[in-house]
Amino acid sequence: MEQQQNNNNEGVMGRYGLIVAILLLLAGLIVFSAGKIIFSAEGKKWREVGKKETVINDRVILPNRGNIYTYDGKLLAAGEPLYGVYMDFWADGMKKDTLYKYVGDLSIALAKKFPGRSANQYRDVILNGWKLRETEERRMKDYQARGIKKKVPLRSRYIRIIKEDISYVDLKEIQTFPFFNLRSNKSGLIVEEKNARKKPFGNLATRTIGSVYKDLEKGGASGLELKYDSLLRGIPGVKNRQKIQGKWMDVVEIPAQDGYDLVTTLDADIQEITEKALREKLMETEAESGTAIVMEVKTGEIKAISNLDRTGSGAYYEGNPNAFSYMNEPGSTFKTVTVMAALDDGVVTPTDSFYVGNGLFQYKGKWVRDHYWRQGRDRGYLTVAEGIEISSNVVISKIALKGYENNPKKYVDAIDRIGLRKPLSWDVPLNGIEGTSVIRYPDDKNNYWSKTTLPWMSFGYESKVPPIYMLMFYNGIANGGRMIKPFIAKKLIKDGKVINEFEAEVVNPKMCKDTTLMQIKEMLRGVIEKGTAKVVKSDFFPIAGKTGTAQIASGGAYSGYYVSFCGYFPADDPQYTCFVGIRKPKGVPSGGGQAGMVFKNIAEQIFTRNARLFPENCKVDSTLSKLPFVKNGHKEKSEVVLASIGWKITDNFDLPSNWVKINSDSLGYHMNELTVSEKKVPNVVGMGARDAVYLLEKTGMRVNLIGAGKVVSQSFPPGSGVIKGTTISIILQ
Amino acid sequence: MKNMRFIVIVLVIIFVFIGHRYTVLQKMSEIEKLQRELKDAKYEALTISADLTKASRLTEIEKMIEKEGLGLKISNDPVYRIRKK
Repeated sequence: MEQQQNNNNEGVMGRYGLIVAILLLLAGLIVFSAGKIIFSAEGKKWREVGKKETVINDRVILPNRGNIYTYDGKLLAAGEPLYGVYMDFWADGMKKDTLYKYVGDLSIALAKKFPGRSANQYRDVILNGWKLRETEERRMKDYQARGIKKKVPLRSRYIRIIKEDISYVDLKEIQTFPFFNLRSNKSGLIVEEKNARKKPFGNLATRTIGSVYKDLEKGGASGLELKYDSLLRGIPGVKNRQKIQGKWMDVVEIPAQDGYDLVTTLDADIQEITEKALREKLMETEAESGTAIVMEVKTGEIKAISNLDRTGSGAYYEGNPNAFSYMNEPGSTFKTVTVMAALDDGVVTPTDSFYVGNGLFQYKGKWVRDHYWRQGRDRGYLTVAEGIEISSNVVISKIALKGYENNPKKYVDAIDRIGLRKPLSWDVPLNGIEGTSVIRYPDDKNNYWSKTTLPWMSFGYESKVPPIYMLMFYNGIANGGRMIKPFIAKKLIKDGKVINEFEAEVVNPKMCKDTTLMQIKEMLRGVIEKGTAKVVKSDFFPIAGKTGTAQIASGGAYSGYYVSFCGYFPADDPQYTCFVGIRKPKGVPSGGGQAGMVFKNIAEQIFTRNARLFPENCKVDSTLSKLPFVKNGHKEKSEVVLASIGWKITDNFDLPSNWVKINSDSLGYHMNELTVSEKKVPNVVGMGARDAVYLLEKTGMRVNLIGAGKVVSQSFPPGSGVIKGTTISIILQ
Repeated sequence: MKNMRFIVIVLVIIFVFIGHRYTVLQKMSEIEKLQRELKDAKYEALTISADLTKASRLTEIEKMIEKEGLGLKISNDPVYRIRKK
């Protein structure tokens, strides 16, 4: 038995061993042949093929360009992907019959969504693509048959279907269209991502924000986008694509670093107010161009900046950054600089006076003219303050001559001391001398200092000062003599963390003596109170500022005017400084009536927007009462009740009747007599139940009481005769 | 039999190795999927928030009011702020 078992075991083991041996041999053969392939030349070839089929090397990962925000985080410019839509007619899975079956529906859907082409045109584009592929195929076979080794260029691998680049949302939509909803190897749909910039605010401050090149790798083309390009653009990374489990996947080698987000100082609301106010005035005056800048006094932040140029059609669009780049003579707004210098140097006091006569003054053969000279009226003497207020060229040039005729260098040094000749860099890209103030110096051999340079310089000619400098100067006055540089770029943010926060650069911590500053401020208020800018005066808050009307030099002659107004508000506690300049307005050029009105418009709207009134500021409506309501009723008892809660009747103490109606208003409680007669039905409306029932029952009537509260109606009208024993119903609520 | 423990350990390691590779691949495809979803949400959010910003612009609101004939105007008086004392 045991023997047999053993025998049997041996038999099983023997057969089993044989199977194992055969399997092992097979496995060995497989391993051997695999090894032969791996280690022979053939292996090398296959590895290459494998790599080619499963890995695509080193592609660039484009970083996301940083966004640009307003001061409170509203999007000014953001990266938005756009997509170019193409078809590859050599796609592996594309079938002619499927294409022909769906092309009609697809074309109709496309034409509906993107009306740039009609349905028939889309159909032609697609079918021509397919025909091109067939042609290419034939040619390939032809070449093969004739043994020509030339490659056929496959243009049908890349046929543009939709003319424009489409948005992400649109892309998702077309991916649901017939045929396009197939897998991309069947539909041949190629989607090419392009980065573009979206500006939700449209044209608002669009040139200040700037633009980017269509090819985003080239980066910013203008404005802040260009100025801060290196920070916004980010650093590209590297990835490769691998075929994993039959799917192509990105494998990141070096991740891309996204660009910084830039938070600006701009306030979308103020910007909107500013642009609108400026545009309206430009339309009205048909001016060539205009600039308006609003700056926060204490921080130096530019809250709004608008540069509008007239186009051929008479509309106005954001144009050159004139606020920085407009290199021209500033005109009368510069007079304040001269007076500040003269006051500081002790040349004059605000009450010193100069003879102006009828507004003409000849100096070294050239006439200094005041704007009123044609009137011929003799104005006699004007003080320095009046010279600023009515913007007298004669007074200002006489001040300059008095102080600096023999030493003009001292005058320019004073301007230097204030800080207006300091070259500064701005937050927008500029060319050449743009954005610098060009103020002459007597020794300069390239620019001859003539005998009349000093007086003309004193009232704003012969120098080139861009608006931003004038704004900065007046903001310095508003800011207690501390002149800070206006700026736009406020914060750099990465992943929600502030990387860098900018503050205004201090150009000059103290522009002038405190007394000078006070005097200047007084004069600038005078300009609005009684000077050239009376129209600018606001009912809501005081304004201080200076008008400017400068002739525009072009080719050695003067033609047209540049009117401007620069000032701050509210004058007693300055919050904002604003510059408005209009180039070549039609009509009588007026710094106050044209530029000044834009200023006023902007200022009042900003004021209204920012001001907060408290309930105490609200004038109380005299009929409005905050007092608890008192029911009509018994006089003495009402008085007791009111006294117990600390209120008294304010008038009519000595009413003859015991019954009163009590009104209240903002002043207190007032009593009016209620006449009650026992012969007539009394008026119990407004009384409580106790008083009403007492009065009615006293007349001999019965009372049917409905509800609770105070009486709102009674079934017998007041004053009607009483029939004893009848029942009167009163409704209380 | 003496090497049984060794063989078992080697086998386990081989299994872990193969399984690990498999989970990695799965994770990768999940990452890819999630990234696509993230991108999707991001772009959609961008498009919508941009539209919202556009719609809430002062001039845009004024235009809408005009269009709808509501007869509303921007107040020239400052607003009142109610505060807790």
